[in-house]
Amino acid sequence: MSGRIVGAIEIGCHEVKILVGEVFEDQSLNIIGRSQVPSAGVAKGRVVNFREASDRVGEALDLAETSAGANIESAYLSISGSHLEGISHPARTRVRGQDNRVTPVDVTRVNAEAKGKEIGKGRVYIHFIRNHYRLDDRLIENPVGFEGEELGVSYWLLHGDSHAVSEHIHLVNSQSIKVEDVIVSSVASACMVASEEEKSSGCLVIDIGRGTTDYAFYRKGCIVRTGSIPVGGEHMTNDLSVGLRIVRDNAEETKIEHGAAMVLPEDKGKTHHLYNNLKIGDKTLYASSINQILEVRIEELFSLIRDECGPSELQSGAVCALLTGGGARLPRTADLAERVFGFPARFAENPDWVADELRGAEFSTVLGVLHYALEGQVDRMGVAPQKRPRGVVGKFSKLFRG
Amino acid sequence: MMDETDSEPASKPKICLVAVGGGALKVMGRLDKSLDGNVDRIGFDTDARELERYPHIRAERIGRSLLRGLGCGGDEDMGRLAVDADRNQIAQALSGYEMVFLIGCLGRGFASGAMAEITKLAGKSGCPTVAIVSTPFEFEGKRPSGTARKALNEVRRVADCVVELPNDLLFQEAEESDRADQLFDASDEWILRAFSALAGPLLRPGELSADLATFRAALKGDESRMHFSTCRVPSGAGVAAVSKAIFNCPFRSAGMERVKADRLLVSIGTSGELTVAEFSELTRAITALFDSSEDAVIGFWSDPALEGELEVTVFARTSLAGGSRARLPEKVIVHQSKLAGKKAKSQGKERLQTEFDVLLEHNERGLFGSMDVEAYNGIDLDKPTFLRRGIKIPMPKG
Repeated sequence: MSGRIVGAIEIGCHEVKILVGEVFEDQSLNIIGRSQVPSAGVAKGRVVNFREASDRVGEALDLAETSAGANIESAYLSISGSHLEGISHPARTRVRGQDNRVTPVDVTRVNAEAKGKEIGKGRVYIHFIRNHYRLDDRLIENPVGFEGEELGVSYWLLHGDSHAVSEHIHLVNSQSIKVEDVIVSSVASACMVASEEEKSSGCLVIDIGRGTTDYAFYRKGCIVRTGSIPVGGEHMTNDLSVGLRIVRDNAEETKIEHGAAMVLPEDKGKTHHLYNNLKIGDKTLYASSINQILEVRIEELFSLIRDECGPSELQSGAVCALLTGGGARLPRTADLAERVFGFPARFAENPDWVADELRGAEFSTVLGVLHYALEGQVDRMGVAPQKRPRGVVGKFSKLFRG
Repeated sequence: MMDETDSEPASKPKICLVAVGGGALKVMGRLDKSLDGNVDRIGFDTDARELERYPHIRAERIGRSLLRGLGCGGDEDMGRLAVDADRNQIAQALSGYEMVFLIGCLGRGFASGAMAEITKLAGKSGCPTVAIVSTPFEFEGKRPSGTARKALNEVRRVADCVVELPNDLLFQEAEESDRADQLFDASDEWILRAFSALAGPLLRPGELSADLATFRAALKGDESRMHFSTCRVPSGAGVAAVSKAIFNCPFRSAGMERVKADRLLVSIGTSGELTVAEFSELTRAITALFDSSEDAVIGFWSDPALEGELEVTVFARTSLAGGSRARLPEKVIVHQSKLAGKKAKSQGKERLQTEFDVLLEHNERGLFGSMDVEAYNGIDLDKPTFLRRGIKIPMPKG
């Protein structure tokens, strides 16, 4: 093999997922292996038991390398959790080029200024996500060569708790694999499930995982806000367990088999049985009770996201909500999202060109990690945007179709 | 196993019921008169007027030099300082008892600051201490919830047994048409029920009763988990109704359905009409429910005041360090050949499995109980939304 072997790693609360890719010099990529292992020692995006988590990561790496038939040389790691925070930071500069035409130097200067905000002790920058440039009053994707007086840009600066981030990185580093970069889950999954059209017209991508829910808000093709709420599918299971007084396993089954995110009039009077054997120990449950418990939880979750993004910002900037992740599979979740956000919502999976085995929403983050790590980080280095090479994702389609 | 005692016990155990703070004094003021003479009642508070309101309770005013007879004004630190100032007075008041029950309404003020220290002083002489506490309603605000959580953790470290009543659960007990004041009365009522259920078998005349030594042995135990539940159902309602009521008790923690108790104390109280067949069926069903046929102590007493009702109290203790029963081997190693076609998780790895996995994952905050509270804008999002919002979830009757 002549290419570099990289791994995209997602250490979630539910599973550790790894995709192994071979990257060639011409920036093309070949996915050659993958693994999925149940996770342990991670809760709500934080490592709570290093030994357990490390064991599972090691196991997943072994399986991924065995399936690829090669050793991973470097890794890209997704990260989530409520310790992640973002700030919007705008900057402006006078255009100094000849004839008031913007030069790459002007662009570099305004970028550096926008990314130069200091953050608190114990925090570390993870992403610098650039919005469109503003040349006087015009929004421009690449201002080099345009005439104007004042060049502005705004960055969404994502930072996290340095301990939480380093613990995640150490999980991989301790397996003798170097972590090249860290990518926030919401950014990774959003770039996979949202189409270019949806990103341009504005959309809110919500990834409901097991321990956390990540979201990314696209406006005019750029991410203007991201966030993570420490609530996921496990909370829904817990609510059912407490509310219906049943054990966790039964609560999980009840959620999957009978749960829905909204109470409808037809639920009134409808019942389900816990074991359905009508013996001693079996329990009758109202469908309306199950759905009511889930509805208030998911409604609260969506309301928190709406409030974080700002209701008016959402109304003016987004035209649809895309729901992804295992927690969003509950029936009527899209209807509830529509009710809370006030615009259409749908369940979204990876694009059609991704192979069937990776099409499920559970792979959107790890696919996004590969995509974003290989082509989306260019701007982080302070380099002015240039014409991008053909996207890695485009190459996935060739490799995985059929 | 059943303990039989003489029909006329030589002397009743010296039991003390301690109210910590104004809320607990109010609860104690409602205590059933039938227990008068059997239980010493002591009230600790800094507020002189509050203590004067209950003349039948032995008042122990503390923090005189600090607060001059006034309350703590919602500041738990003042409660802590008041206890520090009068440690000798408290220790003296609580000495000489064989068992001390402490009740407190946590959330703000004196009880939150003083409960743990008073419990510690009560237990210094070696007597078992049982703390029965209520935690505030969500609508009372974020600060009381946080204060109560902190205080409860401190109490857990020093008490032999803690019975917690999360007030939010009372919404589930109430009917939607109930008056609001009934909700607060219900909180007081449940605390008293817990005390009555725990102390009752020691005090009431019974045919088979758990003596103090048995009770102490059940309370004292390292690395163990305690489950407590009490219920009242009409006599003749049947075993199924009792089981359901036990699981629906607001004191019981999630996951109790699967508890396998190493030690089980069951106290059954009737007004006198329980037949031998019913008693036998009930005891067998309860011990089977907790899978505790090896070490179950059944207390049986009668009290005409129950008026056709049956009171069943279950106190289950599960040792996490090492039980008396045969257990699964600590490590279950699954051979590679059996894993063909199965999920990757077990491949080449040892799976650790203990008998009490399910117990470890449940407690008062459900599955998130073992995790620190990570408040999101001051809200504990791990706690179910319907509980925080006080939404009643209907359950089928019968």
